[in-house]
Formats: sequence, C-alpha cells, structure tokens
Amino acid sequence: MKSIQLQNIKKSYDETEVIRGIDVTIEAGEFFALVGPSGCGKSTMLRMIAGLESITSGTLRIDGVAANDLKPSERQLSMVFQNYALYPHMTVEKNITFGLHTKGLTKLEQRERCMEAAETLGLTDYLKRKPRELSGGQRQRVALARAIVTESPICLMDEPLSNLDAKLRAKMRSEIRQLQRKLKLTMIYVTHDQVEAMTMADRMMLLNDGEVQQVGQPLDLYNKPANTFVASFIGSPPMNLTPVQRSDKGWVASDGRLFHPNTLTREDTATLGIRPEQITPAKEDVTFYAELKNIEVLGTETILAFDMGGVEWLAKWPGQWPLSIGEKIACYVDPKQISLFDTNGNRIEPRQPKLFEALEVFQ
Amino acid sequence: MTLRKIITYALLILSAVILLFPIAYAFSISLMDGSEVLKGNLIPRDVTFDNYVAAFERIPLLTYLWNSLVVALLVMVGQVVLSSLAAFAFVFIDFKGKGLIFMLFLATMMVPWEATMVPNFLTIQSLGWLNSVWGLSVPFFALAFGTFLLRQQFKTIPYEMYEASQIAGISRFRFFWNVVLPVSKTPLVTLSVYSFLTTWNMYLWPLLVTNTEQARTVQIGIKQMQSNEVASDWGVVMAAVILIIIPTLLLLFAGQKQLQEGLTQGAIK
Repeated sequence: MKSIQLQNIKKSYDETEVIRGIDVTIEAGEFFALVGPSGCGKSTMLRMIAGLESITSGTLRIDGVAANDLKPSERQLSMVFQNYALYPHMTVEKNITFGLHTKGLTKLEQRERCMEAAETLGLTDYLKRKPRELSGGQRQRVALARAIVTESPICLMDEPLSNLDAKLRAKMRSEIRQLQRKLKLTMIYVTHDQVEAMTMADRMMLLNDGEVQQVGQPLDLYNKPANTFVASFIGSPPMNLTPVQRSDKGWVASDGRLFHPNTLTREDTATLGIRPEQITPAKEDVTFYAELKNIEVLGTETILAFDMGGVEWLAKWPGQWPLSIGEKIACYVDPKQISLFDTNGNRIEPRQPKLFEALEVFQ
Repeated sequence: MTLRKIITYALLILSAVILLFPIAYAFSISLMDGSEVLKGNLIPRDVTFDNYVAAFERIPLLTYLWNSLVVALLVMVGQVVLSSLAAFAFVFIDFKGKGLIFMLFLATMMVPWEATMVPNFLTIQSLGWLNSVWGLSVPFFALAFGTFLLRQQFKTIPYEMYEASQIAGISRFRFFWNVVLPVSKTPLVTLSVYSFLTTWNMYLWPLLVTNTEQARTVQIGIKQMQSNEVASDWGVVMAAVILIIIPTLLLLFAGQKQLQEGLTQGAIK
C-alpha cells in the first residue's frame, strides 16, 4: 500500500493555468474520488499523478518519495482508461499479459497471474477472444484485469464506467469497490458522476476550474457543502438555492417568504440552500406554501417543482403523491437543515447547539 | 432503376475495354509471328511462343528481372521501415519543432524528384555506387509520402494505447513493433505495393546510374530491345513486356486480397 501526496501542484499550458495549486494527501489503501464537471482539470490531475503529463510546479510524493521526474512505469501504478485502451489485435490473454515481461516474470508466471486476474473478474472463458468480440462490460473487465495483473499498489481510473449502460454501471461500481478492498489498492478514481463518487469513495475531492472546492468524506460534502458550487454539484436533484435578505424576523426571499436558519452572521445578503429531500410535507408548522409547477411521480418518491423567489426549487417527497399542477402545498423545513452561504458563496457555519443552549440559560 | 444499371454497366464495360485493350493487344502480339504483326491482326491466327524464347535469348532478361526484383524489394523494405519509424516519431514522440519538421517533410513532396536528380547522381557517383543495387535503391528510401500516409494511420490509434504501454513499462520500440505495426497492416500493405510498383516501373534513374548489363533493370532492357533493332520486332518486345508485367500483377492480386481483408475488418468492427 502506498500513499500519495500532492503539494501545491500546479499545471499550466502556455499562459493558461488549468490546475491552480492542489494540496491533498491520499492515504494508503484509500478509495479517493476526484469529481468535477467536465473541463475542471480532474483528468489532468490524474494524468500528472500517472506521469503522463508534466507537473508545472509543486511536488508529487508517492510514499513520501518525490516522484515528479519518475517515468510512468516507475511509479508503481496501474491505470484504467476511459476507452479501455485495449490492444485490438491481441487476444484477451495477450492484452492482460502484455508488458508483464518488463517485471521480469517468466512465461509461466505471466500465465499464472493472468489466470488469477481472469478468474477474479470472470474472464476465464474469454481469454482467447479479441476485444472486438466482447461486450462493453467484458471489455471493461479486461481493462480492469490488465490493471490488477501488474499487482501495482496504486490504481488510477479515468471515468472507467462512462461507456457502460446504467444497469451495468451500478454492478461494476460495487465490483470495483470490492476489488479495491480485496487487493487493498490505493485507488484514485476520476468521475464526473457524483453518484459514483458518493457511493464508492472513502473520501472525495471536488474540483472546479482547477481549484479544490472541498475535500472530505462524501457525506461531509453532502451535509456540509463548503460553498454553493459544492451544494449545487453534489446531490440529485441538487440543493435548492435562492438569494435572501436579512430582515428583523429572519431571512426573506425576494417573493417575501421567510426563513429562520439556525445561523449567526453579520451579512445582510446571503444565499439560502435547502436539499430537496429536506423539504417535507407540513404536519403542524408550515415553513412556506408553494404552488406546484410540475410533478414527477417516480414510484418511490415524488419530485415537486415550484417557484421560490424567481428560482425553480425542487422538493423530494417519499412515496407517491396524487397532486396536480397549480395545487398549493404546505411545506416544512427543519431550521437546522437550512444552509446559508455568504455573498462569496462560502458556507456560513451554523451556531453550535451547545453554545446556543448556554446563551439561552444566561438570558 | 434498371436503365440506370444498364448505363452504369455500359460505361464500366467501355472503360474496362479501353483500359485493358493495350494489355490484351500486347499479349496477343506476343503470340504472333512478325508478318502477322505487320498485317495488323488483332488476334493471332497461329499461336506461337517463339517470341518468348527469343526475348530471353536476345537480352539477358533474367538478369534484368532479378535486378529489378532486388531493387524493388530493397526500396520497398527501406521505404516501409523508414516511413513507419518517422511516422511513429511524428505521432507518438514529443519533440521541439515537430510541426515545423513535418511541414518540411511535406514540402519535399512539392519538389519534383527530377529536380534533385543531379545532386543525387553526384552523391551516388562519389560513393562509388554506380552500377550497383545500392545506387538504384538507397536514394529512394526516404519517402515523404509514405511518412505522411502512415502518420495519418498512426494518428487513428488511440493515444491512450501508447500511454497504457508507457505505464506498463513497455519500451517504445516494443510498442511500435507489437502494437502500432500490427494494427496498421492495411496502410503498410498499400505503401509496400505502391513502393514496389513505382520502383519496378522506374526508368530515368536506372538509365542514369547503370551502364552495364549486370546492373540494368527490366525497364531499360525493354527500351534497349526496342531501339537495338533497326526494325523493332514487336512480337519479341511485347513478349518481354508481358513477362515484366507478371510480377506486378501477382503483387497486385496478393496485395488486393490483403487490402480487402483490412478494409472489411475495419468496417465490420
């Protein structure tokens, strides 16, 4: 198991800076997801770790050793590419073993390792086939087999599941995760799909425009988004955001709806955020009323769309709700679950409950 | 629909006849005796193979054929090896001025080969390569067209394949040999056929750098046969021509099969 350390890593092409200083340590044996919209620099980041792209400035350490100038093959890593990069003219077996000779393995050892990897991934029946005779999922497995057969302690994956259909993707997600645990790999996994990152990663890093937005466990990013970008990227549907003004009674949206978030701040304007699933049907207390603009009944849940200060908000109610467009609904939101972001979009930490109680006692 | 087909086939047949007529006529002349040729017969009345015997007797045709074969094969191998290596460098290796050098490469395609003939001749002469297969072949080894053709093909190979091999620690040459060449069979065959045929049909350069019977190639032999006789014995000349065409036709058929295989493979995938 190897750890990877990035120290103020930057990358620029000519004048344009695409990675603006990244500091992060990826622990040994950790499943680390790199997430972000396309063009955010996550693939570039991965390719710099792999050694396929030069590092403009900063230090990359693999297990504490500076690795900036090491060749890709000297970094003890394997990589799975988005398009799998299989050799089309070679059989599956040849694809898996090609390159093992560089590790000083005999033909017999290569075969043994190949069989082992093929067995792990259920490829034993396909060893004599060419990649074009395989389905997408099988090709994906060959690419995985090629990565694990090297027994490298670090594995890099660049959107490996994006060419698969939804059902297969869900299956491969858990397979990759199990494989990583079983082989105790240090995994860096690039994806633009936040669901993949949320379900697979021990920790994840959200990048936007070459800058780190937040690093942490998936649920931290979900529950305490560091800024409005994280809030709107993580979660499906994403967090509802709307600009609000401070007033005597609380925070007011532009259409006059009032909120009482559990947050102390000196700001006068802010952005208020509520996750769709935290907007619940009101039982006693009503936070606001909304007129339905759209309804999607998905079986296990119902997605309701309504207007909130000029912005479309979504609410996710569990179960099937026989509502119709134009109907007025009463919604409740727990004040503790309301997030507030300052004018720069950064999260305003809510009041600590303990301090809050203590203050009340003094009053 | 059927009218269209009829017109299409009529045109195809017409062009096939026009294209094939010289070869067919040459073949038929090669089977006539002298008097019949002069009568202007299209088809020989008495088929005779005397012309073929005569062709071998009058000029050292076998030596010429052998020379041509050796030179054409040398040039073919030389061009394929150098072009593929150069194309590999242009596609997979990063170096300063890559674009500029490639532009220069392409620019040499604009210079007619005849324009460089004199300096090439002087080089060959000072190397002492006159009347040798080296003098006939080496000047053609570097081929900008071949480099261009293969570069275009190599560019279609996903770059990730190269990166994957780098991560696996596979050497560049091994990647070139075990991956790039096998997946580029079709253009390699095309280039080989092209090189072989151009060299086989080369006339001007062999005329310049060879002056002995031991070194000459077939195309010179034909010309020699035609002009040595006061009244050309067309039957013999055509017999020699037919003999010379055979290797090129063989190559074309062999290559065509390979080409078709390569093309369908790509299409079905």
